[in-house]
Amino acid sequence: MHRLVWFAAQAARSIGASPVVQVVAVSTIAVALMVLGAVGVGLVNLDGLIDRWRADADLVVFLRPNTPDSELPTLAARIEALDGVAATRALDRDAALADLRAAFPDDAPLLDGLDRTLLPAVIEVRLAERDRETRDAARQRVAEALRAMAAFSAVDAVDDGEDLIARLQDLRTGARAGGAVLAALAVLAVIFIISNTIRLTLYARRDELEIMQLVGASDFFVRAPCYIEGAFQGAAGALLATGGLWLMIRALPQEGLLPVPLGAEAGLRFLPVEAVVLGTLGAALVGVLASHLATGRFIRRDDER
Amino acid sequence: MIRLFHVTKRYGRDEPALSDVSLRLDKGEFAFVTGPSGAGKSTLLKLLFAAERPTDGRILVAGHDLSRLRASSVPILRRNVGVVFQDFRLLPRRSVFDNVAFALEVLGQPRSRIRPRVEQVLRQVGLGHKMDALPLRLSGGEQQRVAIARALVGEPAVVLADEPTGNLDAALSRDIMDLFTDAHIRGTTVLVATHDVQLMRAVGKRIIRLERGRVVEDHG
Repeated sequence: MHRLVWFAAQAARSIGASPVVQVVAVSTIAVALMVLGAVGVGLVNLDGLIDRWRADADLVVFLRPNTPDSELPTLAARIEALDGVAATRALDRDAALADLRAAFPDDAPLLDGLDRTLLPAVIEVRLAERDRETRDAARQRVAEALRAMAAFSAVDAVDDGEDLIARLQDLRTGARAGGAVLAALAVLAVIFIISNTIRLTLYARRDELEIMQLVGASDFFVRAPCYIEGAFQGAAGALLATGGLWLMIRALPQEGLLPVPLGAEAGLRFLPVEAVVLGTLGAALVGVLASHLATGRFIRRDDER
Repeated sequence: MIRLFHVTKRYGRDEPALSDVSLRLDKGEFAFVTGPSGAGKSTLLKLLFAAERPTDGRILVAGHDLSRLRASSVPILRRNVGVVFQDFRLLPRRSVFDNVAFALEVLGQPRSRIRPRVEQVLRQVGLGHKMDALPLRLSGGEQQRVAIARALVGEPAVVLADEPTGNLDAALSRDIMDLFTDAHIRGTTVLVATHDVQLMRAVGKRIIRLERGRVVEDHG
């Protein structure tokens, strides 16, 4: 225990001896990690969006263009009788156009000239299953049943939201790949910054280190305070990045950031606590690795002298 | 305690700094190594605390074969070898006490054991009253005493000193040599590199004379 206290005291002494260098290093690390964190926030929200869409989306049944409006109630009743369907809402062509106008009130002049026959009549299907975990499977089952009806009824197509989900998943895959590249760059940047800061520290403490080696201190004793210093810089940079990112996200207008029709909850989600903890520990670990590289070079050079 | 078998040390393509040197210092022996500048005194000492590796030959120090010593084992050797330099090599921003205690701290010894031991050694070298002083506030002789205290505090089997009195006047040099003699009396093997003939005569111990990297005289 007294060794750990001694290592920590040496690291604190070293950090205190060069406050400006430390502040610059931690701030630069924070900027690099903040960029990475921003990608993480984007991914978290994209994940949330996909999950919420999967869980909340209902089904829309498009009817054939020649279907008379009088058939809608009968068809709606048949669909409502399907297992897993809670309710239906039939919209004839006029109602569908009115819905479109309501969804895009700013573009009303553009929609004024639309022919009522342009839009098909639809039946919106609300699922009985409300549990988010099992709703996705329930939607698939009902969609299958509706598609089976297409052969002998006025059902033309069934929109179960999978196209949109597939596009969002493609976007997520791309964002994850980009995030991985960015993470690798951030790790390299952190290693570069910390190892150079540690080398500066070692250079400033070279007399002390020479004496340490002269009196028989093991390499670990020379390195351990640097490991703590590197871990401190990494963790401090990560925490500063987290705080900065949180403030930036809070400063953004929370209303209307995500398209509400996609089922998004109001406002952006921040990184989960586990991600922040793991990220901070990871940055500390990268700091230790960078310190190891820096001290390794220094110790080898010292031996060669 | 110290054995050299046909040791040669060469830097690049220059003339060897040491050439075919064979020596033996028994446990508890006190010896001087002397010779003109460039004779190889400092190189010999550097080889003995593994700051350099021999180009050829074999060196044994306190049970360690330095020719085969791995880099990771060098610290273990150095815990048995105290080293004193002409330029003291003290940490200017640390007190006398901390300079000496540092040698035990980096070996992982607990504070409760360090304090009494450091106080004891500083009293031995006559600096019991200046433990809190900074090195730059001390005279050259006192700074060298701190360096000797640091070398002795770990109770090494061997003490090596490279021109420890080079910056001191005759009276202070004699005082410093008395400290090495005290360590020798307590059983430590002492090897001092110096070109101060009067000092060597006054102490009256074995003298090994080097010239151009070779042992040309060994008596006492």
